[in-house]
Amino acid sequence: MPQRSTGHPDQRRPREFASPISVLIALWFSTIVLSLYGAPEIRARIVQDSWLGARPWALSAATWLVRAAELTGFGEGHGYVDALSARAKSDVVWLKRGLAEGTPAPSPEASGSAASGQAPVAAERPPLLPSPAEVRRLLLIGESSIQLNLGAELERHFRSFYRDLKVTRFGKLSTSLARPDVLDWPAKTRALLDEFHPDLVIGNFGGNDAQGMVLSGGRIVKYGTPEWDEEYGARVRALVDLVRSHGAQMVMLGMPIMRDPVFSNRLVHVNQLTQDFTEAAGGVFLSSWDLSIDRAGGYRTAADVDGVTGLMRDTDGVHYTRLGGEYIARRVSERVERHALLVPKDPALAVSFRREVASRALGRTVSYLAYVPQLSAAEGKRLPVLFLLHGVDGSFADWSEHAHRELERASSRRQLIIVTPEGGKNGWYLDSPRIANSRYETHLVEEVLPDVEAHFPVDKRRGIAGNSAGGHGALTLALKHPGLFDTASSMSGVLDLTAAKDHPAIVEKLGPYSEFRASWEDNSALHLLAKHREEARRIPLLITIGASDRWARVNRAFAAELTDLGIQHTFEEREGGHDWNFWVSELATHTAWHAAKLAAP
Amino acid sequence: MPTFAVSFPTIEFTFFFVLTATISWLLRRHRTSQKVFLLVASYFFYAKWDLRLLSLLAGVSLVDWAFAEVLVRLRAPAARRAVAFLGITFNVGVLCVFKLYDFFRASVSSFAGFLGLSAHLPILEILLPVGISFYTFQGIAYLVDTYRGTAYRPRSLLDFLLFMAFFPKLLAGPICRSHELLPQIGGESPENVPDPSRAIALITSGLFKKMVLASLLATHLVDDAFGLPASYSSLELLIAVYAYTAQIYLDFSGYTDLARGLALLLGFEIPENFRYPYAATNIGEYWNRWHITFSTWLRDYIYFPLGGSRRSKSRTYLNLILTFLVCGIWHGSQWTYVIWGLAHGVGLAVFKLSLDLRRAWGLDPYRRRSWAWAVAGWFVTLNFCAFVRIPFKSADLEVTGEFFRGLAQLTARGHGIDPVVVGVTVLTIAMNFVGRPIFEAFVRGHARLPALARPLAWATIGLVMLTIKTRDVAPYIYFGF
Repeated sequence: MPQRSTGHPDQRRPREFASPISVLIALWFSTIVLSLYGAPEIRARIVQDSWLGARPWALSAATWLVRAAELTGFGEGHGYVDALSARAKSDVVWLKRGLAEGTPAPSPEASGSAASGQAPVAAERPPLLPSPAEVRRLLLIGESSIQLNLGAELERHFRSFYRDLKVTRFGKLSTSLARPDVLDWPAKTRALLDEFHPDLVIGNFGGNDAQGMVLSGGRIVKYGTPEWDEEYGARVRALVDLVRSHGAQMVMLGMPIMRDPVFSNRLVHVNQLTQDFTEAAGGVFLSSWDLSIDRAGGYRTAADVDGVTGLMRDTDGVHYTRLGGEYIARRVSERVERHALLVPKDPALAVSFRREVASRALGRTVSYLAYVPQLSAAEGKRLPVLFLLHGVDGSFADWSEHAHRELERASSRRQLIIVTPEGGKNGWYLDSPRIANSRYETHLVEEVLPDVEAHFPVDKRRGIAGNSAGGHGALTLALKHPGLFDTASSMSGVLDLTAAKDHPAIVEKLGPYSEFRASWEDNSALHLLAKHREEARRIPLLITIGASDRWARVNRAFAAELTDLGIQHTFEEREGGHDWNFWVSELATHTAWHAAKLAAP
Repeated sequence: MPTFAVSFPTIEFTFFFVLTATISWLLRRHRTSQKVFLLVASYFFYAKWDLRLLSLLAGVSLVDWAFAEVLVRLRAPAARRAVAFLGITFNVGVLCVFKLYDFFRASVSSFAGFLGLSAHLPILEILLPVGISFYTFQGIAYLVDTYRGTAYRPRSLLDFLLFMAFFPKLLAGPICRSHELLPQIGGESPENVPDPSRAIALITSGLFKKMVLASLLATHLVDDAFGLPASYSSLELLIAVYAYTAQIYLDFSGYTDLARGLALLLGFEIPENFRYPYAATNIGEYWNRWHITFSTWLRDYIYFPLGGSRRSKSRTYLNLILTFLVCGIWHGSQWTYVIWGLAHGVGLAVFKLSLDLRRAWGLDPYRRRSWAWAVAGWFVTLNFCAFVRIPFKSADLEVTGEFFRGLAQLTARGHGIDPVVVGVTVLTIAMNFVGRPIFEAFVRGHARLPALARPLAWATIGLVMLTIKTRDVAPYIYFGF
């Protein structure tokens, strides 16, 4: 074991002493000189709220300090030093370039213009239908979150999960859009865009942004003021514009909750601004807040990846652990797939496409997702299509949000093209005679369906399924449009609309039940049965329900009515409630059932 | 980051320190007030890191003091042993709760899973108090020394509290023994500032190492390469290995230099922690030069109680391995640290074995070796230390595996090699050979400066540091341990 030397080198020589006064004078003198020199930085730090909590007196003191620095000529000194360091930096860049040229480093030109460079790859693999540009080059930019675990896990996940995807990442500790003096993000981003030519950029900013900003004129805007919001929004917008002007899609990833509630509250605001201005500039905002909170909406401590549970966040309460990063990366990649075309390496996973439809029935542009099995798409085979409807208070992204990979797997395994259309928050898949732009039945039948047929390799076999209000929608649409669908199924369906006669949204659409009974019954699956008995006998029906679901009674009554009318059907009641746990597990049953029934002649 | 903490090389800390030094020297003829003031300043400094955990520092100090007071009053050996045991358990317990909970949680549930059981300890997120290891180690050392009867006894509770909390060494050591600091605290205040030239040399060295060199390495390659080794070429990974070894030395020894220099300016001398470790020509010598106050702590409070080298030879090797296993686990609740500790333990055991073999063959194990042997020894030692830091720096074993796979691919093309990183790394290793004479020349030169020139000289040093520093100075690595 090592021995500690006894003869302390410091004690072997005669000691020197100085009077405290002389030492203190030297200390104070150098401190004053340093603060004059560092005056701009000191002021910047005070502006940042970090040191003295942005107290007005501290700010004015710092401003005086800056003035004093200018008076004593230190301001000019700075200019000289900046020029020197800029020169040194350019030397380093030059040196690096020299070295890089010595060895044949990969150059951005290797990929060339998209057409020539990518041609051989494209020839090997026929493009999928329809072909919005597939993402081949992904750039990740952001603050420490991107430099550290989250960024590393995003890079690792995207690289390993998707086919033919190149990923580059640039993250830098303590930078922000608010502090171009630390790192000029627009300039850096431009350089990265020019060098890497990404198709998709994922940015993650905001963690260091809730601080004062110095405008170009030297004016300071404090966080929490409308001027700050305006300036920050403009910076977000400029970044999104920059990326889009280089022909790439921009996804802004929102910041997660932080352990410190004050910090978290600021981020709620910063996220909102980022979302508003990103979307205004034509970019996509993806939240990560909901992934980072627990059931009660508080800071979530644990994450679970493939059965391994551990801490989600680093001890600082800000950054992610590796496990947490991996968890977020997986969830975020699913969300990104809703906006950009990425092809999983695993051929057993279907590809998800997003299509936008300018809907006249709804008076707005709405989207749907289509899951297309990889091989069949490449082989040009035509497949049956399954429309999968969501429930109340949802959107076309509902199923993707809860079961994206399950849908990709089911689509591929069952060789079905699965389409998840938009059913609105309270659309109920019916045409409202009373309110405008709420004709969801028409939207699905006359807008989505033709669009699917025009753009995806589907044949004439069609199934329709859904959960909750979507289950009701699936059965009513199948009954109302004889010959259109070949199979129909409902999971936890609200199978009698009149059982929900107090539901304000339906009342708004159809009018009060007491007055507009006919209208209600014309849109209620239970009441449509008798009317469309023939169609109900023609198509196979599957109805499943969780035993503890509050709609179980209605489902049992519906099944009894089917039996009474002599309509063949499958009714299954099993453990479960009215929730996504049940629906995700039902998905496999329903897709298998539809595939089997649609395959039968 | 919104949470503001007083790290050494910041303008905030400069003001804090200059004010503290001024008041402290003004109070030098009122020793008790001066000590109360320094204690308050130290607690203020710690509270700026985390107010909630200030009570932990104060609480641990008080409990350790109480245990020691009971120990010195007890006569019966059994009772003394029991009290000492309780005191040590308390300190180790505090440390374990804060440092190892997650490790045990994960291990218990995976072991239970292996047995087909499910034992899920709750996932608790525990805030790691900055510097907790350093003050609990100091407390343990004090208790054991008190038990052994070799401790220097504090004159008062105030002395002991200041001994535990003295701010220059609070966050990352050096770990002071009672006889190293308590006599200085208990004695009269020096009338004059001791060794100002050495203090300035230490501060300059600390600033240069941390603000300029270490930060260049941290921000350029190391963190990124260890974050996702798969995206770097073998050559870049190799450079990252050496760069990290340079960085951790610059970071940690830079902190110690600053701590020692600042303490000197307050009139206190705290022990040396690094003695040019990368000049070591064998692993034993390395540990004699690296994190000295901790390696001697391990020796005195773990290796010796295990029996040291006084039992059989094989027991000596085992003791070395066990000691460094503890050292590894102390660094963090991660298998990566365990592997690092185990590697060093085995390395030391093998080294010890080679000494024993030479002795057995009738050779003098400490005989001066030829020049070529020394170079070879240096090369092996430096590379051993650098490469076992790959698991140390990796987030988990998967990353370690990825790193080694990346190294084994023998690729050279990648993002491009940064001459800054290579230059700083080479300079750092060279500093281990030529640092001492340069340092001493600096001290001598400064000592010759007339009193009037010193303020100018200090301001110039500060300006130079500010000018050449990297823009963002990363937090100290060892604050986290």
